[in-house]
Amino acid sequence: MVTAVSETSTARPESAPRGWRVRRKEAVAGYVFLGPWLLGLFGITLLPMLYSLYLSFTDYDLLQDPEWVGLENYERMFTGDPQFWSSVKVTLLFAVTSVPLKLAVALGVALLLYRSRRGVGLYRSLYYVPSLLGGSVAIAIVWQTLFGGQGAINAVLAFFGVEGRAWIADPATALGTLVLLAAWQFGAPMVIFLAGLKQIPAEMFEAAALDGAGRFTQFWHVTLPLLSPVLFFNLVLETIAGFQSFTAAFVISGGIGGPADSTLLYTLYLYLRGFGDFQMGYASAMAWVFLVALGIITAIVFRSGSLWVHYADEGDR
Amino acid sequence: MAIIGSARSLRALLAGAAALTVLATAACGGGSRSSDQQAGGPPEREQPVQLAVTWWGGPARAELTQKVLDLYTQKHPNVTFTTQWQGYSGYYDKVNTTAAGRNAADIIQIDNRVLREYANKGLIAPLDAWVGNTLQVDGIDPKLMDTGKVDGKLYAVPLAANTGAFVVDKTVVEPLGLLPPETGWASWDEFGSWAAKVTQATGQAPWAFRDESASMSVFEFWLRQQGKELYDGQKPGFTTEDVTKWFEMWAGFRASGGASPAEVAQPANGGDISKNTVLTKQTAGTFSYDNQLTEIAKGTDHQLVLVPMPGSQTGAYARPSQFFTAYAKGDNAATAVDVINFFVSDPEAGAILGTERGLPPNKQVRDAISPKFDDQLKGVLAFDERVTAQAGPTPPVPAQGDSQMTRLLQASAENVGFGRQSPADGAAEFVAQATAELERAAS
Repeated sequence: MVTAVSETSTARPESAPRGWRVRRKEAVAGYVFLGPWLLGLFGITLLPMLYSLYLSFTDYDLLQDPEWVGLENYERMFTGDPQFWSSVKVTLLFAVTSVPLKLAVALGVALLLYRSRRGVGLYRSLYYVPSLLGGSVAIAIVWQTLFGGQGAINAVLAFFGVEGRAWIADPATALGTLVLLAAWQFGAPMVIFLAGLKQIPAEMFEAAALDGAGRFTQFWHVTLPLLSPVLFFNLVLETIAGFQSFTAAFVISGGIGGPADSTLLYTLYLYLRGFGDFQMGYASAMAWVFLVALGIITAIVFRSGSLWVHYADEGDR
Repeated sequence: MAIIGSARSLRALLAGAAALTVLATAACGGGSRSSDQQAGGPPEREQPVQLAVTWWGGPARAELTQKVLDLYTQKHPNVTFTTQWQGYSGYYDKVNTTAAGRNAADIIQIDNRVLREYANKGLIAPLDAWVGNTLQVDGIDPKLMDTGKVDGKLYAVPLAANTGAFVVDKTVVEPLGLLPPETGWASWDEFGSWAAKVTQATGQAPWAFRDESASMSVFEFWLRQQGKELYDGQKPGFTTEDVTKWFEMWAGFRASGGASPAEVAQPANGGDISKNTVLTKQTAGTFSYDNQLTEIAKGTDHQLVLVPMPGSQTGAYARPSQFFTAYAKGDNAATAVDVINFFVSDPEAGAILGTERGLPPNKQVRDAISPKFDDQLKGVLAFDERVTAQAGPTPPVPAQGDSQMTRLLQASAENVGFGRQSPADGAAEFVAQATAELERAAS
C-alpha cells in the first residue's frame, strides 16, 4: 500500500511535467502568435472602451483631468438636450430608409447579374466600384456638387423642363440625398447576394417552371425564401453600418449637420460634442447609449429572423 | 492541472498586457516635458530647437507664412520649423485632439472665438512675462492688444486686424445706377430698399445679397448698434425679443426680394469663401471683412468695392482676425514667443505677410510697408482707418462655448429661413439653448 502510493506519487511528477512542458510550449507559441492581435484588442479596443465607459460618468474636457459626475451625462441626454433627440430622430429616419433601399437595389442588380452572360464579370466589377469609393470624402464632395443648387442634377432636370431645387441646402431634402448616396453604395451586399443566388439549385426553378410558376411567382416562392439567410446576413450588417454612418453627413453638411440640423446624425453629433465642444465625457456617454441601443436593435433583427428566414436544411430535421 | 495551467498563463498574459500598457503610457509621457524654459526667459538660439506651427487658411497664407518662418531660420539657424495648416472647418477639432494627446503645436493660430476657452483650460501660455523683453508690442494699438487678454492676462498676440464690411459687386450694380455711396447706408431700412431695387433691376439674377441671418458677426454688429453685446459675461447679451427682431428683419428682406431665399444662402452659411454667393454670382453683395476683399476678388472676374455695413458704425470694431499663441506645455515657449514677436514686429516679415491675414497690427510695420501696397490694398487700408475711427468700444473676449453659439444660431436661422419656425419660435429656441450651453461651458 505504502509502496504503491509512493510509486504512483513518484510516477506522476515524472510524467506530468513532460506533458506540461509540451503543453506550455504550445501555449507560449500560441500566445506569441496571438500577440499582435491581443495587443490590438487590449491596447486599442478594450482598454479605450473601458476608459470611455469611465469617462461617460465624468465631466472631461480633453485638456483637464476628468471629474466624476455620476449619471449627470446620461440624465442630461434624456431630459435636457433637445438636439440629442433630434439627432436620434434623424438617425432612425436615415437608417429605416437607407437600409431597405440599399438592400433592394443590391438584390435587384444581383438578380440582373447572376446569370452568366458575356461581359457579366465586367458589369459586376463596375457596379461594385461605388462601394469602393463610397466611404470616401471625395465622393461626398462630388455628391455635394451634383445636388447643389447649381449642380448637374438640376441641369438635367431643367433639360426635361422640371424646376430643380437646392437639394443639399434645403432641410426637406438634404437627408434624402444622403440616403441616395448610401443606396448607391450597394456593391458589398450585391456581391453577397450574387453568391447566395448561385447557391440556389437550378432544379428548383425548373420544377417551379414546370408547375407553371411565372417569373414573379418563382422569385417570391423560390428565390426569396432560399435567399433569406443571405438577406438576413446583409440586413444585420447594413443595419449596423447604417446607424454608424458618418463621413457623408460630415462632409456634405460642412461638419455641423445642417441645414437646420436635418443631417445631424447621431455619430456626427457625438463627434461635435466630443471634439468641438470639449464635452468628451458627454460624448462618451452618448457612445455607450449608442452601443446599447445598437445592441438592442440588432437583437430585434435577430429575433425577427426566426419569423422569415428559411434555412434549406430545415426540412431534414 | 489544465485549469491551473491556464489560470497561470492568463495571469502571465495579464501581467504582460499591463506592462505593455505602462510602457505605452510612459512612451507617450516622454515627449511632453513641461516647459523647460522659464516664463519670461530668453529665447534659445545656441541649441537646435524645432518648433511646430499650426494655422488655418488657404495656400496663399501657407506660402507667406512659410517664407517668414524661413526668414527666421535664416537669422537663427538653430531654430527650425514643422508646419501644419488646413481650412477653418475642423481646425479646432484637430487642435483640441492634439492638445488632449499633450502634443499640440508650439505656436497655434487662433481667433477670439476660442481664446477664453483655451486660456481657462491652460492650453495656451500667459505671455505677460515676455512683454517688454522678447515680445515688443509698443507699436500695436492697445485696444487691439487688449483683445488678446483674458481677465487682464495676455494670452494671444494679434497677428492682424480687420473690420466688418459689405462687399459690393460693382460690375453688376454700377450699370443699374445703383452703386452705393462710399459712406454706405444710413440705416438697415435704407439698405433693404436699395437691395429690393437691385434685385428688381436684375430680375433676381443675381439677388442683391443673401440671407445672412445665420451670421454671428453680422448679428453682433447689428446688436452693438443698439448698445448691446453678444455676451454679458458668461450669459447671452441679448434677449429673445432682440433675436425675434433680427429674424423678422431678415424675413422682411426676403419678402421684399432684397435678400435671397434661404436655399441660395445656406451653402455659404458655413463660411467657406469658395461658396460665397458673390463668387458664385448668385448675389451682388456679401457681408465680409475688409481684408478678405483680396481673397474674394481673386475668385471673380467682376470688380468689387468695400462699403461700410448699414447704419451707424458703432457696431464695428478693430477686430483681431487671428492671433498667435504659445502652447502652454511646449518645450520652448520662450523661443516660440520670439517667433511670434518676429511675425508682428519685424518689418521684413510684415512686408512678406502684407494684408493677407488682415492689416498689420503694428503701426511702425504698417507705416513701413503701406507705401508699397497696390491700389486695392491701399483702398482696404483707407477703408479700415475710416471705419475704425467711428468704431465702438472693443467687445469683451467671447464667452466660453462660443463655437456652440455659432452652430445654434445657424440652425435656428435656417429653421426660420426655410419657414419651419416663426421668427419668435426660432428666437426663443435659440436663446434658451444658448443660455443653457453657455452656462454648461463655464461649469
